[in-house]
Amino acid sequence: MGTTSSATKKVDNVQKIIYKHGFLYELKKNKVLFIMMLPALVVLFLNNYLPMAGVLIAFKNFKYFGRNLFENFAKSEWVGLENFEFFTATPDAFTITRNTLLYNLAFIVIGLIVSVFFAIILNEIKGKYKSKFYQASMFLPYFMSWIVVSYLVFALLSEEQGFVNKSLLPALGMNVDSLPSWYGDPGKWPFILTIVNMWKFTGYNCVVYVAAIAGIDQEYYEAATVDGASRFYQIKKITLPLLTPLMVILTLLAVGRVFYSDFGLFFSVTRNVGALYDTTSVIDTYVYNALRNLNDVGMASAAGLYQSVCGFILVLSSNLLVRKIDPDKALF
Amino acid sequence: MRQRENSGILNTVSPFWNGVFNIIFILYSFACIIPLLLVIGVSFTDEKTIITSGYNFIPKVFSLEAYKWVFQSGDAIIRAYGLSIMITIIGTLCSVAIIAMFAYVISRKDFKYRNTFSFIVFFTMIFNGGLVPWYMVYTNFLHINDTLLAYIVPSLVNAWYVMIMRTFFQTNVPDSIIESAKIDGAGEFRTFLQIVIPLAKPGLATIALFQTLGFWNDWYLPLMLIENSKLFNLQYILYKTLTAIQYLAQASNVTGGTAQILSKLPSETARMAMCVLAIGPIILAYPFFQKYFVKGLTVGAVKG
Amino acid sequence: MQKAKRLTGLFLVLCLAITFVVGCGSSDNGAATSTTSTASSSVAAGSSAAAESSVALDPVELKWYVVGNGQPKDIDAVMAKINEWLQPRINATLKLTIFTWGDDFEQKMGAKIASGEEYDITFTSNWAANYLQNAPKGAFVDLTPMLDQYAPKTKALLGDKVIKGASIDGKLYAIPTNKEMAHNWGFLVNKKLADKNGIDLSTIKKFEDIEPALKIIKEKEPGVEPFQTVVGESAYRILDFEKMVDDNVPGAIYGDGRDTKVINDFDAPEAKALFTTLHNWYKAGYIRKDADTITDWQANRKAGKVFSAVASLKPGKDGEESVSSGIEWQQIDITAPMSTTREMTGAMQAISKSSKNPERALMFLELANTEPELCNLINYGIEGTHYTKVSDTKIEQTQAGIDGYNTGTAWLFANQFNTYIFNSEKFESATAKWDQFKAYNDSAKASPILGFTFNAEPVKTKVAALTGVKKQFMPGLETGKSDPAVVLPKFNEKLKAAGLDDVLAEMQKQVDAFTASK
Repeated sequence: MGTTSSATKKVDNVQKIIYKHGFLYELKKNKVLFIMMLPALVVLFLNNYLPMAGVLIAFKNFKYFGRNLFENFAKSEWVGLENFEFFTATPDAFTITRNTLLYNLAFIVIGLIVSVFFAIILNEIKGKYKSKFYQASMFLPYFMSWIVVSYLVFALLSEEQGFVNKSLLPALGMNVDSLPSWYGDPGKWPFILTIVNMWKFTGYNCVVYVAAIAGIDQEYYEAATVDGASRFYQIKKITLPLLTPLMVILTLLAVGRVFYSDFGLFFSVTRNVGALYDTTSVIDTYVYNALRNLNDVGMASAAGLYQSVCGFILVLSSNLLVRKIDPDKALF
Repeated sequence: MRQRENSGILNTVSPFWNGVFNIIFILYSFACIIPLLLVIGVSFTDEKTIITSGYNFIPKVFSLEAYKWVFQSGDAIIRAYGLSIMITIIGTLCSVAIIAMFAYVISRKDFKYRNTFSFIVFFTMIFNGGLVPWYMVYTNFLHINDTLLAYIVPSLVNAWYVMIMRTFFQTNVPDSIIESAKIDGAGEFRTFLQIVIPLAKPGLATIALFQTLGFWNDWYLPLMLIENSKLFNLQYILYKTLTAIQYLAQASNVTGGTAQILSKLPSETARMAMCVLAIGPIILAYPFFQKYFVKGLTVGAVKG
Repeated sequence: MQKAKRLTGLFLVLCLAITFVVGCGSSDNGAATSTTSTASSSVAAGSSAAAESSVALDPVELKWYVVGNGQPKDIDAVMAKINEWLQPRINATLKLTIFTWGDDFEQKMGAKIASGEEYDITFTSNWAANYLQNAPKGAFVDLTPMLDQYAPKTKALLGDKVIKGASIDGKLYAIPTNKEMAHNWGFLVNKKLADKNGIDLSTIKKFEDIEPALKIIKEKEPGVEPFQTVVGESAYRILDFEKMVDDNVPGAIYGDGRDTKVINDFDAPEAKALFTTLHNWYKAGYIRKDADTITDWQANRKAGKVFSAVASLKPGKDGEESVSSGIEWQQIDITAPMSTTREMTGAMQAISKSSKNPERALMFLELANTEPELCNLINYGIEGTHYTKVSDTKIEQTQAGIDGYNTGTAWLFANQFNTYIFNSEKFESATAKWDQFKAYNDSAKASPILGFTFNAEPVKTKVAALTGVKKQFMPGLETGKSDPAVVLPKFNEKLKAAGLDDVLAEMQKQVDAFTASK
């Protein structure tokens, strides 16, 4: 930092006019702000940006030649888009892309509605202990890792010992021979996965909105009350509009990731059962299943790059759209 | 919500709607808790009963075998518990500090490059270089694989939380307050510590809670970066145990050898017991957390 | 946005620059050591005796990764003992790390190999740390030119047949463990349950013959799986197809060596018949309903809750299984012993290209293969502490051994013919067991394409697609859950769409080229 600022000074003296409103000028002016950003920037640089050079592996037929990655990289042959072909070679390309997009779309839309809904009505609950209890129990599912969740689902739906098939349905008078085969029928899984996903994340998403609602200036409500506005009217006219920036941001962030999916949900919870692939296979799990035995670094990188690029285009265009409508709410 | 009771100026929804809301929440809370009750129930059930009558909420035959079996494994689990707690605390503190500082700067409307730096963070959410180069940074460049730092450093900054925090600062810290602090002659850092941070408590509590869970539930980093079995955290041991129950037998102090242990092992119930143990501490810690969390919300709301 | 773009650009350039600097640093290192090691090897080549004497060697640490049950408790003590033995001989110390089965080993080794991390020796095979994929890509050192100098005894020990069988395009990239070099398929049956229910196992000669026994178990032993077939450990293997790639990719020749025609084995009449039988058994309740969701199959087997399962056999397999699982098993041989590339590459130690001391690593492997003392130390720990000798070649594990050093993977390390056997095994001495192994090896018929390895490179995208399709349909079929009459046609149709015919044609082309060259 020290050398940078002394260098800045020198440059600054010589070319003061040119740099007056440039980056270096800003750096000097807001030195403290830059120092505050430094730790995060260092971590991001190491953890995220440094490895990004690795996307080039996607265009190589990656082989091993020497004692380190760089030598291997340099000597591997460029193959253009060949590594991306496995994606078009599969007859399932359409299925997995459709599954990935539809699930994410459902999760985004339903997730947004449900968590904002719960956040708002949680805010209306009278009684400290009640709302505390609700909040705590809503958050419970988020505590659990996917592996634990997969065991919960299995405990309920297992065809050998599951609670639903062994106790619940027979108790409701269902014939033992016509019990549903949960892990055998792909038609049920769009619902199961959506429910499981909502179940796990609603509490988590809700908390963000609850915090935001708590941050809203109470004077708005007080003024509205004085004017005789009903509580529902206040929610519509004060709470929702003030939550909109956060909703837009969170949705935009999620849109950028529609080509990714939660590996734990689609892999662990479905127990990677092949019979369910028609409705449960998404890009991430497909890549894992198809490439795991092949040990092909190039093809794995290609899959990742494909997801990144698609997501990037999507988020850029939606951000552009938001910026057109309301520049203040755009992400960047 | 709570402050409303104090102020008394605000009107509220009618008792009818209040009742409806309560019913919704009771049902929803029930749905959230019930699978956990099932797992707890199963973990206390006799293994043989499971095989004949399946998983059930209330143990038909009560048994502590599963827990006895898990706790026989001795110091491996206790050490892992300790490590997990330590990593979670240190990691969360560092991470919240780093995220807050960064998010604050990019939330400042008078900071010219706020969008550029927002973009730098956001970009990491969509683009990544893949596992292999990432792995190399930690093993060949930083050389922190097989140390406790490997649990912490990779999770320090999370783009998602930075963006949430930025939004929080933008909506809850008025520019005027920062301006007036500046006029009073406070330095940037002092303004941040003494004025901005107190205002941002709800947001910070939110992030802290998320990061706590993140550090606690992490098994992927040890899977990739830790080889020394003395440095395994709890979730990683659980991960190994849930995928292959005999792992615990291997790591255990129980006499009699793996095979003999396994023949007596209540495998169905022991798995569920492990699940309970995995969620246990954090559920116990949650009320304490919630206390500060809710306090944070209140403070934020009143001052905001 | 403009600024953002410029700044991102700057960042990327910076990344590349740093990467470059780091890269140069480490490749300099690499170059330096590689010159010294070639220098030392050329010196050694001058007088091969020099390689044997430790005086000329710098001290090194050899990192060895294998798959197993995780690090045993007493590993440090055993390593100290091994190093005490090893240091005076080749001036090297060993650091053995045992990862756990499955993902743990695969993820870690995958990352180590791909990132070029420095290590010396790894376990590899056709089913873990994939030898057939990694070796041709150059992950392992080609040992062929080094064998004569550094591991002449190992070379003689393994013999031409094994070395050829384990080589890829004439190059040996790993040292196979010296063990049984053939396989046959059959059943492992829980003997206690069979005896208890008066089941006569001697009448079982072919696969279907076990059905009456399953019926008895189903009726009399609630809570026991009569027949275990799960994904990856399935009954399908009893058909003994000789696969071209691995279990996930269609394409095989008949395992009895009748010809070298590559077929889609999933659609063979035998496969169809087997799937139908399994489906009937599933409906009869002999197979657990959630078989296709089970990943942790060993636990139930060891807990005595499994009556029978299909397994890869060898002489005394039941004895070994009984010791390691604590349940008394009896094996029933169904198929005839065959010797294929699968066994040659079933358990091997490869030397990494990232190793700074490949010569020393090979010297170590030579010692592990030829010195019983070292081999037994690695396998059973310290005499007197972890085991006591009952006779010259038979041992009894002590309690400390059972708790603190019980790797249970004698087939994995070096030379199994040099190891002790447990007192509880049925053989009167180790020699008797190993003689039987040798007889078994000799009796095995060699596959017509022994030593052939398929190079998947020209069709790798299609192989990936086929793997994806297999994982969708095969779990249902191999666990009997799916009705083959309905599922099999769909399965084949999708395989065709994923490029089955091209892959089969490529396989046939390579097989033909291989047989022609013989």
